[in-house]
Amino acid sequence: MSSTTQQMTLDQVPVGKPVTVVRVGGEKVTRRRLLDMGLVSGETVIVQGVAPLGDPINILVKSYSLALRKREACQITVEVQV
Amino acid sequence: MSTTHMSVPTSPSSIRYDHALEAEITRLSTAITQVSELRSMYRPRWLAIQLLEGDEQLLAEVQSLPAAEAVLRTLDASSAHLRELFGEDVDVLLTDQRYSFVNSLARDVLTHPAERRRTLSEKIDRVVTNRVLSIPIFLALMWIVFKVTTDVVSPFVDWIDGVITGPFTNWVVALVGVVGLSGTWFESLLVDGVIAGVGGVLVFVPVLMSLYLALAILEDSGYMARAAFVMDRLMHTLGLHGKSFLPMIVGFGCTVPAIYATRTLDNEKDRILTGLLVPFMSCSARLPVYILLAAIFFPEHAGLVIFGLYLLGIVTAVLLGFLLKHTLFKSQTHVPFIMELPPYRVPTLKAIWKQMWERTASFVQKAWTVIMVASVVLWFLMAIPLRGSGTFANTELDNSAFAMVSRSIAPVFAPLGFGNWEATGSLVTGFVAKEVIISTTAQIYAMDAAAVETEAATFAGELAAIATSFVDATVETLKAIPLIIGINLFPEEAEAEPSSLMIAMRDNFAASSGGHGALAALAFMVFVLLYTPCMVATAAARHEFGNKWMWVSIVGQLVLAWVAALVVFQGGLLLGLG
Amino acid sequence: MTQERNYTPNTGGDRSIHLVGHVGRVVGCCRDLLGGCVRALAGSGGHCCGQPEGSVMGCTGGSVIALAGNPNTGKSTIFNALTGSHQHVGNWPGKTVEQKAGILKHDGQEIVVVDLPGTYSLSACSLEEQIARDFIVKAHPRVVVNVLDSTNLERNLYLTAQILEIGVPMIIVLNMRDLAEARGITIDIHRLAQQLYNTPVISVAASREQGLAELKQTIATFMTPQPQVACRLDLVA
Repeated sequence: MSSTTQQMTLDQVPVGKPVTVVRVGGEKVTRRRLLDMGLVSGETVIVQGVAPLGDPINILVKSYSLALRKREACQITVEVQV
Repeated sequence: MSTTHMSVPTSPSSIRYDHALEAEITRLSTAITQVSELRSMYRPRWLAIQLLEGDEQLLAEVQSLPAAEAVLRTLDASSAHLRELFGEDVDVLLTDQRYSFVNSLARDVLTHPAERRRTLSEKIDRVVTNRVLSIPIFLALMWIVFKVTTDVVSPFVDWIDGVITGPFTNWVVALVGVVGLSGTWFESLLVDGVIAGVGGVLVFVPVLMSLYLALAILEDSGYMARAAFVMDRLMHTLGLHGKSFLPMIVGFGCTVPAIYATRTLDNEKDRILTGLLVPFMSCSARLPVYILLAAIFFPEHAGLVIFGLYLLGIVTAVLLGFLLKHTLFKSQTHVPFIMELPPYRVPTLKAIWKQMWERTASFVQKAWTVIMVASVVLWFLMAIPLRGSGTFANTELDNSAFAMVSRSIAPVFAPLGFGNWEATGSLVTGFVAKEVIISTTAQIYAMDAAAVETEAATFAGELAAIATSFVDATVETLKAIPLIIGINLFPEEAEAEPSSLMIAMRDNFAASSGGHGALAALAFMVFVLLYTPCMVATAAARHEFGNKWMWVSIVGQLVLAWVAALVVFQGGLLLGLG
Repeated sequence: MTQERNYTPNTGGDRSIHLVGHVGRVVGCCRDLLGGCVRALAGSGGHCCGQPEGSVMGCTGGSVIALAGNPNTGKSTIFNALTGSHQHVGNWPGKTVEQKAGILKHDGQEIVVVDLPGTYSLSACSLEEQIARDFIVKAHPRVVVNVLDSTNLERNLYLTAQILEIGVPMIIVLNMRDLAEARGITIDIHRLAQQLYNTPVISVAASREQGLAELKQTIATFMTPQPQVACRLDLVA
């Protein structure tokens, strides 16, 4: 862990780059759902793809595929190894 | 191997949270234990955790108990204390720790292969949800579903028709003869009313089975979620959810299951909005109407006309959805789109068969009663003479109660080009179910034929001949049903030899529209596309969304259909078409 | 406790709610939460996919179990395998969520199996979650059969943890073991049972009809009238 890290929101993460969840924000219901689906802090997430019209995105979390809109993704703060 | 016993409800089988959390959980559950109403209903520890997590439903329940005041006080104190300690909201903390329990458990019991290979699903998704290929793939699959439900099933449709109109009818006619009622109104009721109705339902069985087969495969394979993923952006722009797409697709089969399919949506407003738009997806029961009319009036461009109608339905839904989303359905709370893309799986035959069979069976059950009643009521309306010299079950349709009812409504449709009572009559019955439009039309014209033949026989004065020709005529009636289906599925054949029904309809529309028959037929098809799908769909809407929305739906559809058909007919006239 | 059930036979689709709700119109299978009593109120007039009322399937007292699990875990397949054709599809009372119930016949016993909506959590954030949670908490099923996807325990176990917290007897069913095996995933089920406070754990491949006999057997052990054997298991190493 000598490399530096950089924080950004999940919607800005490029495809294929593993990132670590730092914090999940947003309205209560949204946050709750995201947490329930396994997007808890410390979890590794990879953006697998983006839908043809640019939204939603398809992420790999806990070894399953989850689709979420960028609007939800921007509530998730992640850490990227630079 | 050993056997252990444990006393379940009181066992401490739970996740241990960290110290500070546990302290507050214990404090709160102790307070809960003091309240007998809560103690007897819930495990105190569980309730304590839920309350700390901010569960509104349970909080309201506790608040409604006067005895639970101490619990609420403790809850406030505990929540405040935890916020002070951790800053974060408690629910995040609890979920985090619950997941760390799960993670350590998984680490403990799971052995993954050293190298995580890309799963087959992920590989498939790289193609299927690919930015370039996903939409063509999606459209291709929709096209296949459409083709399968229209063209592929035709031999089965023919077969069912053959059975109903051939052996089954003969058998019924023979049976009626045995009990000595040959040639009476009873036989007419049975053959023209009941069997016509039954036939109208059963010919849809293969169509629906193929539709449900396709849906089951799409669903069970995991593709449906991808379809929602691919289409979400578009649907979202239209004010809908990616998940709204599923009911919309189903709506092309039948509005009734489509309305029930809106349950997929988590948010009630999205559900109702989708439910209001689903009827504009042209259901399979409307297709025979288009096919028949298109074959008569647009034999060269039948496919184009039908495709255009489907497109018009979609465009209407899109525009209306956009409009409603920004007016009536303006949402104050944001509804998240968070959806699993389940792994692709090969659907099992058993599961597909079960779905296909059960859904089709439930359609038949639904359609059976409704259409049978409609068919019989219709027969009676047609049998009752209100003018002229006819007697019961032996009146010219033109003089029947049905014609009277239809005639009184017909002027409403005059500006649309189909203000004739025959077209109006079929629309009236179409409210009962779209399947009936065709059978009504067949009945209207077939009964005309029957009346003519009967008259001819009376003129000849031969009673025996009356009976025979009556049977012939009723057989002709029934022959009209497979002919319609034949037109549906083999328009080329139908073109080669236009039936008497087709000729009669052509003349009829031409007459009511001042010679612009094709334009009137187009307006008629647009009306059929947009107005209330059927009684059953209406009942489904009421069931799902309540009375208010049912009426909104009915009135909205009627107004919209009328206006759209008016625009088509009058607009067409202005442009000098038709 | 008297039980009153009248079940109409299966008529509807077996899809979970997120799929096409078929043409069901039966407001059936109303469950009186507090009495723990399952009653089928068929009909609410009109067209309906259900049979007319009255075909009563008797069922001996108090034996209601619930099937819980994430969507796409093969819960429906297991439900079908357990109940065969003795199913009833309706709605949860007053809700627009499909309810499926069926009868499992085992060794002369008749056990009512209620298929809860597929959920990822019991947070009561959605209607489905609320229904599933209320049933587990308030209807006191004899046992909750928690169906998990063996290929994705990391997420599936979250629901398990929540059910565990409620404190109801539970059976863990690790479905799709064939897929997990094919992917080289191994699960130490003895260890899992131990870690989950001796909850019985059964691995099955429902689509291949593997492990279902053992599941039925295990369910039956929860049906014995003696409360102290409510949670027997023989999986502890």
